[in-house]
Amino acid sequence: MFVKSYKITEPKCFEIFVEDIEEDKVLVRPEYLAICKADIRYYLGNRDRNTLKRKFPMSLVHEGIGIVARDKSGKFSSGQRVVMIPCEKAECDGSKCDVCVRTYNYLSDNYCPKSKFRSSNADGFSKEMINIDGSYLLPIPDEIGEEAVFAELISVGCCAMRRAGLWERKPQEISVWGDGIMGYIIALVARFGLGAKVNVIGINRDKLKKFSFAETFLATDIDCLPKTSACIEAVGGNNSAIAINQAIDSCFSGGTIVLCGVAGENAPINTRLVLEKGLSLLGSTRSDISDFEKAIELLTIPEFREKILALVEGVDVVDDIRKYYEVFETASRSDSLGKRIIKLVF
Amino acid sequence: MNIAVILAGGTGSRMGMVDRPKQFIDIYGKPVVIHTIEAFEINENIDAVCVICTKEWQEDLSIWIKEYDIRKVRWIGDAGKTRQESSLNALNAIKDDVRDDDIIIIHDSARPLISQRIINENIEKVKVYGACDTVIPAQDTIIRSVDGEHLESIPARRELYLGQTPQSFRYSIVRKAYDDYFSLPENERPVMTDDCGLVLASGAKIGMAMGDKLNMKMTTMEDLLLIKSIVRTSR
Repeated sequence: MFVKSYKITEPKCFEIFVEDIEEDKVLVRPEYLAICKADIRYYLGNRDRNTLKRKFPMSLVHEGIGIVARDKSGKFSSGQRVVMIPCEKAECDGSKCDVCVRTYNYLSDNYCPKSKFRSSNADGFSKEMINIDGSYLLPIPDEIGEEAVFAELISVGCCAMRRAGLWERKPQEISVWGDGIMGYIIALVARFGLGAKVNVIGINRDKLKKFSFAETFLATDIDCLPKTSACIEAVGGNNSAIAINQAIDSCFSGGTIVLCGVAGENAPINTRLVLEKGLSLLGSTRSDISDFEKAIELLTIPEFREKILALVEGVDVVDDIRKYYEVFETASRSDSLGKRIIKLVF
Repeated sequence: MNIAVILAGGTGSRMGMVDRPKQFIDIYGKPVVIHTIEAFEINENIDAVCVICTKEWQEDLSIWIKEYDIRKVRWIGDAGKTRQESSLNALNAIKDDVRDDDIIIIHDSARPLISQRIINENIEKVKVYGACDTVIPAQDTIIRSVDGEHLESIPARRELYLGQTPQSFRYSIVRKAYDDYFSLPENERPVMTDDCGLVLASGAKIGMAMGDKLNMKMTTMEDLLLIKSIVRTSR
């Protein structure tokens, strides 16, 4: 089957590809997409040259929902709206690795080095049609609109809760470092998924004002930062180390700190205090299918959905490659909390 | 109901191939006509497909439809001597199963790179206008010559478009146009190269859906070469 796609061939250069694709799984037409920071790093060429050479040409974008075009198995019906999960497990029994991640039930296929993740080591969703394993598709309930495109980000928040055992522990209070979209979504998941009181620590007053469902703190008011036993860092970049060290300072002994931000450089952290307090530090960014299911469940809560909808800054219909460039240019210049969504039309 | 009609009755004389018409040539192991049908097969707005081809190729077509698990083809009709006859045969093939307000999307089998957008836009325009042609703006200057030797005129480019397919209609509109046309004695029927010509002659208004340069028609060997070089295999 002939399918068109946009692929990045070098930084700031997209080409139209027409490919003859396999159709042995479920055919889905990507409809709404959202660009994430990883896509922008590829677009701007902010990865080392050899990495880019190895990955390009590649279709970008891994946050998306689509419409089922055909499922010969009959599990999905034509026209059904689905969340597309961007990871695909490797056909591998683990025997070739020193340790197989599948032996740890808290890790998922997403941690297997042989697995594929879209817009990373496999084509993303910027395609007219994708051929995807039905187990990586989740139906979208009718009450959820195009905001379902945030299911991937929400799943990352759910993953942090799952990995830290917070769904079971149900802490009364959680502190989240980060006033960006990831911090916002993690804080929302904590508020509506756990029913916890949420503290958000950030540096941008305007963005913090949008966290109406949480108590907010400026990271510079060091003496005022709240103390909790569950902390989540969603800062990333060059301020990672500051945020992690503040979390270490603020976390009660025996508490857990979940690291969700991608640090710009190696982050120097106060391990002495980690040892002194007996803290657990846990890395969590890669969600699995159960996290996506939880994300969709959360999206059915009207108050939660309303807060997610607040992130949608508009919808851009992308029906030619010039508009595709425009949305990447806009996204790469944006510093706002929310995102513009792409409606993809091939 | 939205019904796609795929016209695959051509002989492909301009391709120079002697054993098969162009729409049955393989591209990456699959006949062109199947690539084209698949574009409609996977469109969630298309309910059924009618394919028109010559009798001698109908068995091959049936085998391919089974082989490639095409499920929406409900009718296979005979090709006529002309494009108009083929379209009429398609309308006759489906006539017992359609209602007047159903939408008929007529497409050349030799345009395998049709996009989902074009199909959907055709359907939407028919809902507004009752009929729709797929066009792309003329980018080169178009020259008019009557004798093929001398330049007659240069029409204003901004008013010129190149016609592609699909051409889509409410069933009642295209049916009336064809009935009117074929009610004329054969020697009085005006020469038409497409379905929109007939519908326009019947007085209907026709909207335009924006086509795509990639939705090119495979007419010559050079076109086949172009299509093959555009398509990359990801298998």
